[in-house]
Amino acid sequence: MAKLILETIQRGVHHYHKVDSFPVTIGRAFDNDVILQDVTISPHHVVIDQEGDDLYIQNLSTENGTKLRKKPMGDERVNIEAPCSFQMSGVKARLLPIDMPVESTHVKDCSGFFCIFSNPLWAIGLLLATIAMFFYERYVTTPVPKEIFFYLNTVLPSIWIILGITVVISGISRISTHRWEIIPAISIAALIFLLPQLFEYIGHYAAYLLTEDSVGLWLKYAAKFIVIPALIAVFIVKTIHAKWLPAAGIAALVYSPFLAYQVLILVDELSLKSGFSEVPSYSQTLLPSDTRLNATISLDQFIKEADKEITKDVEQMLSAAKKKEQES
Amino acid sequence: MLKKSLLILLLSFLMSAQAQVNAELNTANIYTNVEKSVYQIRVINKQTGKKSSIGSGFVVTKENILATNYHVVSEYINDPDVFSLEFLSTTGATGPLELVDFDIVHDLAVVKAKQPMGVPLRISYLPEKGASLYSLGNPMDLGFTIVKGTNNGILTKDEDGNILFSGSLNPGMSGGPTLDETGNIIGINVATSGNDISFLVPAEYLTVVLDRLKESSFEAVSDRFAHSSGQLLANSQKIVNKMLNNKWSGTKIGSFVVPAEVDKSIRCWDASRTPKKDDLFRTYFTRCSNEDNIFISSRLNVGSINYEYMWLETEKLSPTRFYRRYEKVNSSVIGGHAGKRDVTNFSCHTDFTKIGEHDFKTSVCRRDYLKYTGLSDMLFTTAMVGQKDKGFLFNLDLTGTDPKAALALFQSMLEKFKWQN
Repeated sequence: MAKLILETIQRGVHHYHKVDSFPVTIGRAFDNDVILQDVTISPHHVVIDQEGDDLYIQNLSTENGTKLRKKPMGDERVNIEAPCSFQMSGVKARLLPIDMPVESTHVKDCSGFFCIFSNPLWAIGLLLATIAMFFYERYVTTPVPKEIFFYLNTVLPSIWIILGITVVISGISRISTHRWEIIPAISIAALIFLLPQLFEYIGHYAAYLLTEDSVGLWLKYAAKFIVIPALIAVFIVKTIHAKWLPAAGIAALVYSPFLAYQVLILVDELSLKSGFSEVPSYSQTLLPSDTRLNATISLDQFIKEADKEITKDVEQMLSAAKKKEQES
Repeated sequence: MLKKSLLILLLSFLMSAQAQVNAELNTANIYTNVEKSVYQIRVINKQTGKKSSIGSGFVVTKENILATNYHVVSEYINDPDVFSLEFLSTTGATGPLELVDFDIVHDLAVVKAKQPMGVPLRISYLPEKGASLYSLGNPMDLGFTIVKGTNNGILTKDEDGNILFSGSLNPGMSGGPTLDETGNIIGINVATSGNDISFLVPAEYLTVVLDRLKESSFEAVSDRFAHSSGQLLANSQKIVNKMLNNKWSGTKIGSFVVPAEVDKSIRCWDASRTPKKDDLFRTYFTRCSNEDNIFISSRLNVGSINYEYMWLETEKLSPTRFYRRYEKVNSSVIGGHAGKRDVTNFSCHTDFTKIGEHDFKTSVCRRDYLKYTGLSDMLFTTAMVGQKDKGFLFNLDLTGTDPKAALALFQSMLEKFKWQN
């Protein structure tokens, strides 16, 4: 008879016990072959025995009992075959043949300088770049002379938030993989702040380039709804070595509270846009480089084009409003 | 000599006392003479039967025709299914009224009663500045009163050309007549700023409405919104065309010479930020407005014309920092309380234009009134681009205007921009 492995899962932690001889007793008492320290386990909970090639399981617990194939067991011996799952009160267990194949190794497919989640240089670089971005943003939006302490005072809370996120991500890694993964956590925490800002810069530039402010708005939404969850998924794949699909699921789950909040804002903004607004929406972006695709036209031409376009547009809105009024 | 002086003093005292008695008699006589021709005008909510707003009115031209202010009866004009009109006489008699015609621009309305209402008051010319005037009405629903004041002439800066009446008008007196010493109407009570600063609509505008009614045999206007639109549109075109025909004086803001007051109805004020020693940039800001609004309803006013110039310059800020500030102030909105029941959304068009030999990012936005056909709110804004350390903004907005006229004004103003170092 081949050797067996008894797998017990307590509070998400897997333990493996080699079963060399029979009968095997499982329980909380110290005279058992497999001792399980769980308050819901009886001193003598289960016994597994072998007769010839046949395996048997017997429930000894009268308090919390045992379930085999999701059904409560009585006190009779039941014939089983490995692999076989059973549950001793709050502890899940599996009896596995020793030659059962395990999942193939997840190969770490990233190493070297360009792996931002594994290289400490990247983590430090991204953290410094994010802090510098905070300073820069505060500096360019303050057109009055201020001392360095003013900038420090306004930027420090953001730095604490990055460090806080780093600790949370590391904590989750510690719980799920038993590794702190501080370096990847710093990288992703920095990127969560850095990337949306980068998208905002690109959006601002594009808005002026195309004389269309909505480009910036869509890039802002892209950063919120796609880039950050994608970043979390990449982090899970690269750091925890999970597969893409489960990683995307976990990323969606982790980001869902923020996503729900962002969706709420988006719905508000869209309903404002589709509904009535007292505020005119026109391209207000200004860029010192004056980089744009639209050439300068004469005032006369502009007035003619503007009159033609907005007259057509307003007439459409008027007829739609009249139609709506007639319908109501 | 002493006796003679005492005699003169006694005579002058007696004459002064007599004059005072005469004046008191005049005021009392005027009130007695016209009292039966002055009424309280009430807008009644048909559902509750209670008055929603009150004003005053008076019999004019015919025994059953009364004049009042447009704003007194505006609720009824805008929503005749919900409201009705009623009069209250000095004796307490009440009865229904019907709208006949109105002049929305000059805030006048003419209503008709089913029965004779009294002796029609006669319309006369405005007496000389300083002459005594007598205003009648029912202030705060407290009862019919007469107020004595002084004529201070036509306001030349006011587009409506209202009369400045130095007397105390109060809410509820709107629409009441103001009479000269002979008891003829010279104006209709319309507004007050408190402290004896009150305004009257010159009676000549009422004459225009009454003449029009005489021609149509006092036939009531059928489409009230179309009637309002026509008047507002014609008024807007008249004002803008007048502005376009004026010779504009220039004013220098930063490196640009731009049109200052485009009409005598426009007043410009400096609104620049007080410079500080350690400022990294400088701003010069001038705001101009006609400070006028035509009342349409309690939440809708039109006829405002506002424009502003802002110059920004720096020697100490980097282009990025300077443009962050410049972009922040590049935002223009239109005043008023027009909602989705009144207007469409704005439609805007933006492009780069050449103005005063420099490149500008220019936007034109327009929204139309749903009920007042042909009437639009127009917003124009233009920002100089391509200068790393200088910025110049010009915003112009017109409410309840003819869009073509507004575009012509905007274009003309921009064509006057001249760069001058």
